[in-house]
Amino acid sequence: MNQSLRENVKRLFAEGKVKSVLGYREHPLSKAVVATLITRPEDADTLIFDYRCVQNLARGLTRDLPLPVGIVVKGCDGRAVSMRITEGDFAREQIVAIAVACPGVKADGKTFDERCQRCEMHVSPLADVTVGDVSALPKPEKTRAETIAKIKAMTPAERFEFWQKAFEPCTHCYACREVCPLCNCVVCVTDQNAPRWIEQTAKPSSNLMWHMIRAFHHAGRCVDCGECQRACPEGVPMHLLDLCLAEDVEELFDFETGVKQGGKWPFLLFNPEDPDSWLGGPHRG
Amino acid sequence: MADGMKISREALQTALSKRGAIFAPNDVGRWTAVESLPELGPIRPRRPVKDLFTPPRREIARWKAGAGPAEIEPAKPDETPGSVFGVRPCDARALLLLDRAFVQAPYVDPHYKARRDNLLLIGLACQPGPNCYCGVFGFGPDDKDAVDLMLTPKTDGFVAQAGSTRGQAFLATVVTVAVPVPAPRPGPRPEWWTGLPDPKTLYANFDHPMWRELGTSCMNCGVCTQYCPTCQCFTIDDESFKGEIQRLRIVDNCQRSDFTRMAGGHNPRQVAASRLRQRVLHKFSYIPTQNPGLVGCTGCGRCVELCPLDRHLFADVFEIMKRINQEAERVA
Repeated sequence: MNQSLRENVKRLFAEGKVKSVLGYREHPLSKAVVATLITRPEDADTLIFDYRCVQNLARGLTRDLPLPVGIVVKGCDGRAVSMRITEGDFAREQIVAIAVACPGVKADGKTFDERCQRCEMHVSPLADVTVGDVSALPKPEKTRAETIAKIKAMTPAERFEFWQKAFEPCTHCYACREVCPLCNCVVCVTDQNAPRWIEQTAKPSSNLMWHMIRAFHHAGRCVDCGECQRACPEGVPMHLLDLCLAEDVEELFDFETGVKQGGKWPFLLFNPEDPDSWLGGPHRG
Repeated sequence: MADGMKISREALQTALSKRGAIFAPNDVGRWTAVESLPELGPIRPRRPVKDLFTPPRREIARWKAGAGPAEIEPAKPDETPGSVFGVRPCDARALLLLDRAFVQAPYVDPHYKARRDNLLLIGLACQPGPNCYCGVFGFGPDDKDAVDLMLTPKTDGFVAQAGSTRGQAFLATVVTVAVPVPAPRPGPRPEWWTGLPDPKTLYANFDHPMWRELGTSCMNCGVCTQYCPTCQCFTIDDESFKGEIQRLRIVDNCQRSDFTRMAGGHNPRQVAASRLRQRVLHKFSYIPTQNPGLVGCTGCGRCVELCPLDRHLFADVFEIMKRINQEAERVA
């Protein structure tokens, strides 16, 4: 895997297809796997891919990188990159997706992450180069519907109570936002102070406000990479909320985030014929 | 203070209760008031003890909304006497740094000072974890210099050593038996670590391209600052509820993009790399330059443990130093 990855990256440099590549390397001292940006083909020898590559590098794509930029993507990361192109963050030709066959990652070093156990997309749908054996990837052990079944089964009152309790440890550090590949607002709603939409300190009202707005902004955009959950130092299960919305969006709009390029994506879709009255549709009374 | 004092858990509990409220970390690592001394794990809790002295959210003043001049009611510093049980040396050492900002500066924070003056710090020796590096800063897991009392757990109580005159005075009020104390344990340090960087050299390389390279492995989530025992930055914000307005001093952090954003939109720390550089330079260059002998880090390792990108502050600093030194040698 690593050999093939490195050769492919060197070839992309040699053919002039990339000016930089975002990938993973093992830190020589701490031995942890960290993100790295390489701009010289000889540095490709530091690149690796294995079960320790838990991070989603799509967040690291910024316009000040030397473009076109190559990016090593797992299935979920690729969907995020694809979505960023769909939303116009980058032009398609500015990105070279180096898709790796990903059996799943192990944040604890032992078992596959929960997000990987239900993964149906072990190879990125956006792929300019594919590395590794794509024929021998695991089937999902459970489904998203199973993951959120517990929440779906609750009554609205129970659900409200569940979330209030779940958000309680939140300290408003906004790490979930900072690692999310699709949290790309120029000024986040919570950073705006005229008016102040969300109070900055942890308490039931502001916790609810932050997590609700965060989730709404991800409807039809979340790619189920689960980075928000992994980054949270207090273990708030906010990703479950994104999953519930993803389920609804797929059902109502027949849209799977980041799987196909182009098309109309629900978050920015406006339809004057919308059946919901509050959007000014025909049922407006 | 060469001798240690054997003290039973019950005797300590009674003496501390007599003094006032007891604070200790709870099972999720947050500092709360407790009724009885809890059994604590071998290592520092998730949250640093600074939460009790400079909490993430503290009211400064409040007033009623409405017409006419507002009657501002300033918040009173909390002067209730009490004690903090289970303080680890890394967190206690960090308070010495916070003192520098909130007590020794020309502007004294009355809230912080009141807490410092009235809470007795009861340290607890720990078993360092894989991410702990206090040895780098010249102390160990049973260091008593920054606490009033350092306790080493034994099967039937603790061996206590006073770290201050206040601690000694407290110890004199409790029934104890003099016992010999074990030699101080050295703190852990990474095997590749060879020494702290020279603060001036680090600053002289402010524009070095390596900052940019390091910046690619940081997303500025700021978790490292939120859990850091020495980070002290705050901002002021107002909250209102049912016609009453509270002015609050709340935690802020240098990794957030709006931390240095000016009115009008200019931001001197526009990119991730510049904010990462700020964090490293503040801890390892600005603080040591202004206060010889102090470093802005105590090696608690929370930033290493909690980083979603698995970055390692010490490894980064070490890499920076190595590179600067190599380049200097090449020139020489």
